[in-house]
Amino acid sequence: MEEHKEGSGHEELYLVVRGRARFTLDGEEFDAPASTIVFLPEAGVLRVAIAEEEGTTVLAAGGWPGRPFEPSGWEWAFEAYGRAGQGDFDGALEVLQDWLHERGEDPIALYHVACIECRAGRPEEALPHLRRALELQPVLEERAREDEDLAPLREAL
Amino acid sequence: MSRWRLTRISDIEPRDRWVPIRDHLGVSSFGVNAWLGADQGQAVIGEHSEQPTGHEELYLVLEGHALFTVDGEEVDAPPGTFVFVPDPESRRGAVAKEPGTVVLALGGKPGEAYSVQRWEQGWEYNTPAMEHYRAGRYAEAAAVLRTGLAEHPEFVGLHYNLACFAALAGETDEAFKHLERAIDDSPGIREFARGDADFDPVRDDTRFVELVGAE
Repeated sequence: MEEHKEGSGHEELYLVVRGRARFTLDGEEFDAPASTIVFLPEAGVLRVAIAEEEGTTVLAAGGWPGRPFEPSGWEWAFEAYGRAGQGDFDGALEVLQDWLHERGEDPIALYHVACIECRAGRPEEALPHLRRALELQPVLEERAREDEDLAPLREAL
Repeated sequence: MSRWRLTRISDIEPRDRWVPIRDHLGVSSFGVNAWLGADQGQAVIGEHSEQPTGHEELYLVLEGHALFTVDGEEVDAPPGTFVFVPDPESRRGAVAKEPGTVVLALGGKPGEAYSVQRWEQGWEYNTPAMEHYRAGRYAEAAAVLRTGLAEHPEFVGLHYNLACFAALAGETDEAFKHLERAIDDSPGIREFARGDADFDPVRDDTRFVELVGAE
């Protein structure tokens, strides 16, 4: 599991189903053999897990206390970047269009559209998408300035 | 609450076959528990529907080997098998094919915020009562729950289970009294009771039909 905080605000429960993992939570390390449960009620904890054995599998479940669950946007983002990584930029953009179709004008989805369009060598298409993303969620600008995908647009920001 | 909690499933004190992961860790956004089948042939997930809760449920076999039955269809489930039951009306259950079978269960109602299910209440009475029930000692099982209800008359799960045990013990009037109380509190239980074999001894009684409707 890559290093991250839960930007979604979810509380998260991780279960080591198979193998052995090493969790690091806000810099503190924990050995986690199979059947270990790690529960993080606070979304702001920086967490990462690495496999200590081949075939290690960790199940993750999450949600918002007091709010109905809805699938997180990263599910679309993961698939899109997977396709983009194989050079299938149109396929990646189709996945992100599904995200926009499902959730409306989501600024994170638009941000990723701009990233993929830049990777595909279409910065002129990416710019309006990035501008709209920043308009909807200005806090993304800081991220955009450091995002390598968006380097072709940096001067326009 | 600390910023994180680590535990192993085997370190959580089981309540009968139930390992109360959600309660132990304080999870509040979804249901999560583990169920144990210590012996081959033992029920790990008792046959039930999720009609009263409206939950979709995801089961994952962690250890051992289970045989699931979902709406009459058998599913062989070695470790690593997921069984997802989206329809709360589906009747599902699982038995252990190997000693030491452990099944994780996660659930929630689509479109609604999770709330702790009331069947979790009263476990300190349900646990010993279920031991009597499984041994066929229905009168003793009912006696344990009468004690529980004297202290916690608001626990609807105890009313329902006492209705079951009383029906099996031949205490028909008491069975209907508590079944009516449970249905008044949670109308969704009506459908559940209709398919519950514990009520077979009173199924032909007109009061049962009045309370839960005809099959």
